[in-house]
Amino acid sequence: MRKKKKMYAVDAEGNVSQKEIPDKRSSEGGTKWQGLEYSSIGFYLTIPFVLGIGGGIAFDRWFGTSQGVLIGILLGAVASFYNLWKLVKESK
Amino acid sequence: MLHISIKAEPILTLGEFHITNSLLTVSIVLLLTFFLGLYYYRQMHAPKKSGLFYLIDFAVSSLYTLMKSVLGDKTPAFFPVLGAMFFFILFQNWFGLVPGVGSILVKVMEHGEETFVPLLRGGTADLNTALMLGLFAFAFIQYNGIKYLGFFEYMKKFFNFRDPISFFSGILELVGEFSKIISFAFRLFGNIFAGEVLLAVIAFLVPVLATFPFLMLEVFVGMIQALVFSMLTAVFISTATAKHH
Repeated sequence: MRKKKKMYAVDAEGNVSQKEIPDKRSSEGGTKWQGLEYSSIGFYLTIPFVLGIGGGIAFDRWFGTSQGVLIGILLGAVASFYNLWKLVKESK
Repeated sequence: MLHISIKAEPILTLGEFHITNSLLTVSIVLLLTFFLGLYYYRQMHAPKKSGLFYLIDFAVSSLYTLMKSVLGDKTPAFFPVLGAMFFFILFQNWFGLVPGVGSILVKVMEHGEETFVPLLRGGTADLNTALMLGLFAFAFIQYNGIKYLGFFEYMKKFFNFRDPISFFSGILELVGEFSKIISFAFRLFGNIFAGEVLLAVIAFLVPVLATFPFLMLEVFVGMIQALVFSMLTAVFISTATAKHH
């Protein structure tokens, strides 16, 4: 049998003790704060796009091509909408 | 004239290393926080406790309850780091509002000419601090994801060769993971820096009393940003350590 991993646990009173790591299927916290992720929706939508464009420009510079930016923009747009879709799907 | 600089300015140069005004503020706040923590620890075992002890105790236990609603059973393991993160950001934000921070100027030599720069600058009003916190939160999330699920189980989320669609969505997931760092860093920096600029502009336009409501607003914003940062890290950890289907 595999040795159980231990963790240092702290409770609300500030007492530190050694406990076993809870099981993976142990109770999850509520999803009340899940909506907080919406606060970064602006970043989620724009950053993949910017990364795609930047990556495309860098690709073109290095390899002397000219289609890299276009593909970068396309990939960035797909990644942006994937992020949005995932956010909506997870919060349901 | 109004002095606004988007980057922290060096006030002292040691060889190649520039000591910026925000680095100085971060160090001061860190030291004060350390002594506050030491005070709290001493008071914990004292027979008669002071009012400040109960104030800190109230803040810590409220934060603990909040974290518990997100992390559930795993709260005891993550609270030390997330709580420290919360208080670090909170004190950095609030220290930037103390009178004197940003208004005490020192003379420095820059490119051969003398200029005046603020001696202190709010810690989180420097993008470097915010980016460091973002990188740390990101590393912490990844580390715990790997620790709780195992390396291969965790990496399955990003590199999945079962079918082309999940392979492609794994790549997109990877991009989304990296956008977390930037969103963490820029949200914090943007909010706090915007607050400092707002206060400076209002104080420039109306010298007396007009800044007061905005100062109260900034105290509130500083707390909300610290809370958002730590709670969002908690939410990400709780999704990263949960079993992926």
